[in-house]
Amino acid sequence: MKVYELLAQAFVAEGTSDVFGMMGDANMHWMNALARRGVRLYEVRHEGSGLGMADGWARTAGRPGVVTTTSGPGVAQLATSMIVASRARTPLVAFCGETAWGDQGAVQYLDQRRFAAAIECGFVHVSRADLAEEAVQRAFYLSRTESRPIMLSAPIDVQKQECEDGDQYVPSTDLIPRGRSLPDPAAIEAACDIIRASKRVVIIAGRGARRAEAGEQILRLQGRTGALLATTLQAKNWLCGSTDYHVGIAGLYGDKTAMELLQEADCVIAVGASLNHYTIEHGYLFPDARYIQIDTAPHIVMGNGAVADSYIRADAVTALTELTRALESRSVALEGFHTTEVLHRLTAPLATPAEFHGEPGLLDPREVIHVLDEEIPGEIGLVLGSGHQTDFGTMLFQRSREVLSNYGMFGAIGQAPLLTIGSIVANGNRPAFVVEGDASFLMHLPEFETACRYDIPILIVVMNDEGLGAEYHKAGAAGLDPELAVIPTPELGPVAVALGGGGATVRTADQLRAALAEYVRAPRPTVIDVRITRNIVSIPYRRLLHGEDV
Amino acid sequence: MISIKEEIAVPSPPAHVWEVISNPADVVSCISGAELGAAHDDGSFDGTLVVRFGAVRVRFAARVILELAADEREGRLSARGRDGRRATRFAADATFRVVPGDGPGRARVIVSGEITITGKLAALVESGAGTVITRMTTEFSDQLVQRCAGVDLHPARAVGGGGQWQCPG
Repeated sequence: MKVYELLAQAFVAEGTSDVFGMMGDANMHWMNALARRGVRLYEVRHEGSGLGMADGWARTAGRPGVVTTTSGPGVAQLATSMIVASRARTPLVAFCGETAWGDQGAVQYLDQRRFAAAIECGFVHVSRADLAEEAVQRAFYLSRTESRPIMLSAPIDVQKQECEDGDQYVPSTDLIPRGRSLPDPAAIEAACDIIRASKRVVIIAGRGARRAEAGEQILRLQGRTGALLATTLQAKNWLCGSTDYHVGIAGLYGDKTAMELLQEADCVIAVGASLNHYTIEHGYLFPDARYIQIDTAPHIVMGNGAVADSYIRADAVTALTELTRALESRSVALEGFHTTEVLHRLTAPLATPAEFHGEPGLLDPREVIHVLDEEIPGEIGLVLGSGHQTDFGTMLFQRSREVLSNYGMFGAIGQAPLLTIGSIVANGNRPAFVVEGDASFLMHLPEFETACRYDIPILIVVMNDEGLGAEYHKAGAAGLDPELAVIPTPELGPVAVALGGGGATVRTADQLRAALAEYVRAPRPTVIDVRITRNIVSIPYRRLLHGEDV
Repeated sequence: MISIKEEIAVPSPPAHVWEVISNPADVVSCISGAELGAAHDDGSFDGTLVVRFGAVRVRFAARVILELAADEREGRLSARGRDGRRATRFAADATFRVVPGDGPGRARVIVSGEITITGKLAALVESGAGTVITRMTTEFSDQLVQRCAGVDLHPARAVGGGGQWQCPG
């Protein structure tokens, strides 16, 4: 058989079912071999977009996503999306073709190893036919164990060589031990001591806790310690329907009540949350707290530059079960934040309709989020985009649903619709919606056509302020001319229809409700261009740019 | 770096305004969230200040040096400090001068200075820090006017004397 077939066979053995990318001379044989083995191929309009989709696929599936490019220029297109995936710690394998081994005069030659290093990507080379399977296994092993993107670079001449049939391939999963790690009893003891000496405990649940399905154990610990439950941005709204003492996101996106209450904490228990500087505001959000951290990582330095007072390295479910059992056996039970007064403060609405201030033909972005949350059922997942507009959704969406946020992952605009497409594919074509800005959406507009071509039921809600919203507000605060950040856009509803999907441009809440109803009734690729006012500044921007205590 | 340039019109005679503004305890009582600590042999003293940046409260501790030229009714204040977590440092240098106002029995306080914030908080507050300081300056101006008019800003709290200043927080 040919090496490209052997490589395709190994990818299938690694569990590859969906591949995003663009075909070229140096990967077309491999893609054909994949197609013959039943792998679904998603031909995109830009290699970087394909990587964004593979990133979204992996974040949802919890296993390596796969993107493919041809040699040289195809690889070069990956740059921005690859760094995003790296910052998000996404397990991903990029199968990249390469010009013939050693032919540095080839038109499409690129030093792909150096390029991979520059874009924060691991690199594995298929340098010999007899090492091809080992290269695939290593790429997937590194991707899974280091939770990062790996470029598997395969020269086209090596791919076309003859090789022995592969029937002994050992998937990388066989090399990774399974089973839950048990917590160190001394660490549990130390954590008990900290909790016993505390009066106001906060539990912060992160993406790791959600993946470990540790919700039940978190709620039990919360009940025993009288804790407030907060989440990281990546676990937004998780468990919010299961406890009255849920304060939303810890960090800049927390509301004023949450910020005030969290600063009163004298103990923080992090579960599957790294407590980076976003979550704890460099430590300023918890000035008087001691930290207990439960995580599977060998060690973590938190966003305040310190390590936890008690670090429990273990699986979330096991550690929480053990910690709660230890507290029970010591009869440690706190009222903590679970008081009528705190409950009253937490039930106040974040933004009431009376506060909405649109303009003629332009909606208040807060009202848009309010309508979206009301009209879109909880089983339809949400992806949060970028720019100033994303602050409104990040703070104001209240309904419990799967939420994926790309905030803090390199700060690149334009990624969220791509992540959403990949996420939908990973979820078996289950509908999802993304709230994105106009500049972001237009950056990768052609991929809406990709979604239409594969009938991917994505709803893209474009919060259209006809400009670069973040720069508009930052320019104003810096004394620059905000009008330079204004960029008119055409009506995007008809554009979406022209590309083969559904579309509407809306200027009132009723028009928005009608457009949403149409999508919810029969989900299909849809763009709703929502015209919003630039007059409303988000709460994070009011804090950061104007120092407001809001 | 944040620049301060402020002219405060005070409806009190210059001599009285100078009396207030040259007394650290009186000045501190005009700053919400400020406290004076121990005085040192070299004339400097300790101080703390709780500042709200957005919804986050940060407590700074500083060594403050106050140099006064009574004849010119001019003072120079410098402070160097950091927050309790040692993640953020600040340096402040300011001069202030009391001059006659636009009528009898009125004064103007001319303040100019610079504040530099470095460290973690600098990234956190972005341009909001300048706004916060402008807001604090405005509050200080209002409080100074009241203090000079003889209003006891914090009647429930005692103000210490001698080498140890204890001022309201």
